Amino acid sequence: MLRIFILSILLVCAVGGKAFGRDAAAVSPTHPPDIQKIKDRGQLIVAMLSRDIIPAVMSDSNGNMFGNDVDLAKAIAKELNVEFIVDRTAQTFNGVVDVVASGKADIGLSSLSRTLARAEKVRFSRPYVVLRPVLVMNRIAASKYALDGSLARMAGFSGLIGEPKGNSYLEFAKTVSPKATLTEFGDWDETFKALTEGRIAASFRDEVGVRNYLFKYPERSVELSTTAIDNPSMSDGISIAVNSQNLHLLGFINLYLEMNYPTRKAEDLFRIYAQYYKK
Amino acid sequence: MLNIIKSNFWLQLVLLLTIPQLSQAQDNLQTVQEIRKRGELRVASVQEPLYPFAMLKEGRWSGYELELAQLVAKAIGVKLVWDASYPDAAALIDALKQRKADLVFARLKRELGTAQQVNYSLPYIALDFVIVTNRLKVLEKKPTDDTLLSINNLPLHIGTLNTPLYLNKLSKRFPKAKVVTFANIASLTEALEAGKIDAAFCDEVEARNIFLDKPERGLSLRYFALPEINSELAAIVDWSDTHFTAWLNLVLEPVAGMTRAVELFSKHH
Repeated sequence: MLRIFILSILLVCAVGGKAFGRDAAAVSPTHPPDIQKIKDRGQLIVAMLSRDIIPAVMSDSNGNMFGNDVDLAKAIAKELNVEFIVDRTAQTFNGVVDVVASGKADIGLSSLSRTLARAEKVRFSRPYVVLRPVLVMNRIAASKYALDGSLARMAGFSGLIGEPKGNSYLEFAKTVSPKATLTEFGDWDETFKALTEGRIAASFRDEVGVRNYLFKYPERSVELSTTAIDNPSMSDGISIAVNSQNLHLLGFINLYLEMNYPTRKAEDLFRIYAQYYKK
Repeated sequence: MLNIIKSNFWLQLVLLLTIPQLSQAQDNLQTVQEIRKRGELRVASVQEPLYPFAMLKEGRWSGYELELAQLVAKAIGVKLVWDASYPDAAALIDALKQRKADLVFARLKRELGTAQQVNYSLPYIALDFVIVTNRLKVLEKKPTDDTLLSINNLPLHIGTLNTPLYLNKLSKRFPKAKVVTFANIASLTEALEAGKIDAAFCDEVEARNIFLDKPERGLSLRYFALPEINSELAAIVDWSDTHFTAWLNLVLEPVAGMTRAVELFSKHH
């Protein structure tokens, strides 16, 4: 048995060709393993949220997908000369990250914010969209607590702030308002309903999310006031999640974004996808 | 220890599967040490000299890319071996894969096809693209004036190099152009001078060399800068040398992007 084992080791060394130092005969494969795997499969598998998000991920009545993130993912697949395949099993943003981390998808896009917790599971590309965080307040609560929309006021605020469970803005709210009590809700609709009803005083969300909400429920701007936070160091970088093993794919995607995709802001998205914000 | 290995089939299997990967990881970490042990940094480049990046004079190579390669060799503490025996980018990538070269300096522009096969270093210079027109050929098309603005709308025959990067940039910038492709700058220049094409689309260094080689070409040809279109040059390293790439970037970081083509021309002229 030992002889077989030693022979096997020698065989592996001979085949691998580089077990004990690099030599001139050791040839590196044409593509890195992560890119080769995608090319062999002929498909780039992209994790996306199960529900549509304007303007990132949208579908027409025939189920054809389009939108900012869909178009970007398709362009990357085209550049790799493979088919675009979507995995929409994830119910939440964190779920998209989990699908990528599990290896079921090569990359994930769905207006994903970078957070340190997510970065423990996946790698993030350079941001392709940069959004401002928005402080959304219940007008009566804002008056009661003398919240003027400034971060200085929010830093000392000790009331109730609400965010959806597992959302990137939970971390953000903890940083901006460390004295506040954080309440977690099921999703944004629940969070903003509680905000409208005054059960919580404030919430933080990205500017596209806030606009989408007020587009859906315009009457709620009576109860809610919004203040965009114009601090670049606090901006929300929307990025592509890449499986942590796919380092060369990550490098390729970053180069793609650098060469072909000037970072977009909310106003760019609102302009490009203006037709989807019309009733 | 040996007995444990002998008696455990699964342990043997794990060792068999992991040893090549461990040694691969070790390769990545040891590239600089290997170069140091060898005593020479092997840098591959293309045969064709291009002023001011790599020039051949009395059998000796010099130029900006040689300076950068020397910088890397000096940082490792070894001598530089400059091997300019390769015809094109494909041969250079192959040299990296065959382990005949540690890195490549060959005024390679970063592009996505190559990025799937190699690691790019930090870009060391950004070059603007330009359009060089044949004055008479453009006049025949009856432009409203002699500005770039009027050229934009003419249905010109524009020649360029047959690479996806050049073709993509040309078709985006001049959507009305009829594109003619050429294998190299020499044949592109010849066609432009002979009036077989109306204009040539190339980078500023290639264009400056057209006039530097024969200054009298300024009488028949005209140079228009297109500063909104540019491309960055970077060294390349095999994809498996990820650690070496990061190390190389640290060496290049102080000089990366600090030089413009016009400065190189005045420095090396």
